[in-house]
Amino acid sequence: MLASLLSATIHGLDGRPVRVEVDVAPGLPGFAIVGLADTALQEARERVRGAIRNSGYEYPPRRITVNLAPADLRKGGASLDLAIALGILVGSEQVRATGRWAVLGELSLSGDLRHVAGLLPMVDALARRRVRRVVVPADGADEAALAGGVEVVAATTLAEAATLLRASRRGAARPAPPRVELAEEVSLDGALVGQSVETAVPDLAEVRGQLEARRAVELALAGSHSLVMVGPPGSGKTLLARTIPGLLPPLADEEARVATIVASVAGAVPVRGLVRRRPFRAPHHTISYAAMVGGGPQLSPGEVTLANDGVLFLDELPEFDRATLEALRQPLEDGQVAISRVGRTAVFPSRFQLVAAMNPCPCGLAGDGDARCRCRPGLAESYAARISGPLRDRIDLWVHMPRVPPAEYVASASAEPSTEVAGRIAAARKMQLDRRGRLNCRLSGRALRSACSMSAAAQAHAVRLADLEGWSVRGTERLLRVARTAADLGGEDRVDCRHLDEAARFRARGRELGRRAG
Amino acid sequence: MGPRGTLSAGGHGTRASSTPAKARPAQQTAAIPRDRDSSERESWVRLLTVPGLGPVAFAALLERCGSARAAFDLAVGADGPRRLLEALAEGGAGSGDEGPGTDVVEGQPRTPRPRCPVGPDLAARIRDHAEQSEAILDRVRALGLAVVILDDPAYPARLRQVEMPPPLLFVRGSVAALSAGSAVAVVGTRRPTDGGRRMAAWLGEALARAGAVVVSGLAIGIDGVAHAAVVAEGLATVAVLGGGHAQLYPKAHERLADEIAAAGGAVVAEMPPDTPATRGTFPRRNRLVSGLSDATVVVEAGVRSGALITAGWALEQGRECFLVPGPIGAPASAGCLSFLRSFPGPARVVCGIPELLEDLGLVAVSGQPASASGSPGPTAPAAGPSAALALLGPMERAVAEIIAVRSATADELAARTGLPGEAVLGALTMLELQGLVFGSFGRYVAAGPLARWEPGRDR
Repeated sequence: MLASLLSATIHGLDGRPVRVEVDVAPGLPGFAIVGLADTALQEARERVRGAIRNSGYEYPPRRITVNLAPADLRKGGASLDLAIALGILVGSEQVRATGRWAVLGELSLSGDLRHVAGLLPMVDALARRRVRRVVVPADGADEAALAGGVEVVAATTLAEAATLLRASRRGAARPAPPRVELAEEVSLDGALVGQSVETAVPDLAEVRGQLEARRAVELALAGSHSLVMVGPPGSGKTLLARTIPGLLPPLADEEARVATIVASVAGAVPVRGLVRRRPFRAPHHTISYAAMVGGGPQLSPGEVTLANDGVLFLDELPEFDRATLEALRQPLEDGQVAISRVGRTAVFPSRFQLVAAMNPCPCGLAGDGDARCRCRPGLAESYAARISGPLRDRIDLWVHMPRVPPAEYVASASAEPSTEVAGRIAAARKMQLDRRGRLNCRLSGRALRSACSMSAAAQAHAVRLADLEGWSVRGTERLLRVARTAADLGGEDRVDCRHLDEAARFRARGRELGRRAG
Repeated sequence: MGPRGTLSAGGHGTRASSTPAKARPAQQTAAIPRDRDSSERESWVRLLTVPGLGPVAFAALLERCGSARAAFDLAVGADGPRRLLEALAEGGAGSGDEGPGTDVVEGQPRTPRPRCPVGPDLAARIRDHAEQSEAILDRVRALGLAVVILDDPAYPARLRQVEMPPPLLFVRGSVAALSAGSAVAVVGTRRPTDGGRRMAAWLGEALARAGAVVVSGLAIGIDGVAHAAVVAEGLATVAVLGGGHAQLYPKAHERLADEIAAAGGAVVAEMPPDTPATRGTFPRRNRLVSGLSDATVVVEAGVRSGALITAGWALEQGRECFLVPGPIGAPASAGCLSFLRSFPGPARVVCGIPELLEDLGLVAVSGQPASASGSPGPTAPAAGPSAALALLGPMERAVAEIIAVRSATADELAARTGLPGEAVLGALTMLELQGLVFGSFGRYVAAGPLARWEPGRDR
């Protein structure tokens, strides 16, 4: 008998409905899955066989063919497990299904339903297909419910899901075979991990000294400008970067929707509710190219997408693979990244703010007081040159962080706490959104010029600054954006010479980087 | 420089009396009319850029063919190399003074008949080089460089006196600056301390005001500070490059090089424009720095600093050599001290700028640091820095006064002035834009007039 169910899989950040057809036919016992299934999906055969047997059903000793339509869509992951298993039960007439159901979920050998990544966009896609009810793993019910427009029904086991399909003939009455638990199930609940990260955000008051860097961080966050901090080890670069999550305002509604979908697709753990915290991603410098921009067999989102509308923090910037860094250029400029493989393309949002930290030279001590750096002259330059000119040109703010002398560390003049700075940042961001509906870093051309209303003197000054340094149009625009943000932080409508000077100074550090001025 | 398409030496003085043994006889030079001068210069460039053609072979070509141009013209064409070799054989036979010592490669004095150092291989290479040499010449013209050859009257006399003077100089700016009445090299480490930096600025300014051309190597650190101090006075300084002009190193000093050329100084290289600066080219460059100068002053040098190589060259070339001493145990002064110990007598110590000027036979010009003779250190010149500082607001002035004494971070400045953070950052922005201060890895260092200013007391 033929059974046909609706399920879904993930392509990029989108769910794609998949029709699962299961034919249980007489013949030599066998199990084949056709329809461009990847390895995880081929292995569904073993999971489904175990799950059916251990749920008290009979695995039919017949010829089973599973077809996944549309045939030309590459399918992966384990989200189709439940649909295949239920298809076999219906096909072998152990369960009779009624109604327009869609089912999603990974099966364990015991018949338990497990969470799948990307539940939210999959349910969303099914809802758009006018599916009335969706069966999802119980711990993903909250996440699936965010989609709206569809009735979400939670199930914890295959047997429960089968009962939900109603009209079970012999189904649930059957006792499940005995099972022995030798280890308690390990909780995949990420709440613990997530919370510890949340509480670990240090307060800005803990950062000693670093007047200039504090200002640079405030400017950068207020306008979402890219920032690089340069300083010897122990100068507080990483600590300062870790305070960033506490300085950013929560996500707006539309941003939160995208962030929740991204978290759903990327997450090994179910999303509990709408994601409101701005992402702060800090991948290690050994990260691969695909992990950074996205890719892999499933066209999975990379760090640039996971940091969408938030901050991508790259510690030890020059240690990153050259190609990985160069790949950041396009997403930085366009706010999205298109991953293309033969025959398929996925477009991911990547409007992240780049914040990076680096040492001034390999030993890290260049410029640290009395010539303690033992790197051979020229090494600092070549170290900095690992960051290519085009990438360097896309950094708005550069700031040097000298080592904090012990005297200053011990002295207890308390620094400004995060809450005050966060307040100013939120106010400046609000000014920007009220003015143009977007942050300064995404202004360009005419919008930027009209946002930066300047006096004649300031205009002449801007021309002088741009001209003096021989800046490209890109460079000049970046200067104006940062100057605009400086004015916003001061609560001023017009950009004046002071704002331009400050912007120019922070940007100029990039050019002097790696050369011992003199 | 000069008319388009020709190379000029940029100046015509009287011909120096000392002609190197291997150059042509003097009358011939005088007989060459001016337009042939430039083609002769071009021919020098053509021949001297042939790979593998050294000074011995070049001297032989000049001697036996009469001029570089004649030698090059012979070598061009299909059977050029053969003609050149014939001419060389004839020339060798014709001139009466040849003997084993003059035209035989050193180390083979017992060759039975006088052998020419130019073999068929080299002759073929000269011919094959024609195209490439044209490209080099085009490059020289495009960059507006003057070419000075050893035979030119404009060739700096001081450099001519050293052993194996470079046959070619590519000069940007004023060729005359190379032959100024007195020239003093100021060199030092690429990682100076604040004190070394200030010393270099004082020295550069005082020497330039006393009428000497300051020669240095355009490097980061002491070299750059010395050049910059002279340029700030609008006076002439000479920068000697380690590579070619188109490969200017360090890149950070490109603008400084422009300013040097614009202020009546010169940027000199002995390599063709596209030669990159490498580890091996710097010691050669140092030989030129000391060779172009009457005396060399080392401001700060670590034990393995290249500045000590320059000092060594100065002694070898019979020039004066001065070293600024520093505290025992300071890494930046260790090289100077050990050099003074190794060469007591020829290596002299700098105990003050007035004394140095006196030792150099220069006359201090009033209104400059040297006028305050007898003080422990030079005091601020009355006009320059104070005038610039007088224009500053109170907050900028407070910040500038601290930085003038010692470089500081923004945090230190805020702590010492007691000013709020924004005020300090604002003041730093202003000072930086006025060129009084520059940031280096988060520390702010005095620059321009502020670098030569010392408020009242010494540190």
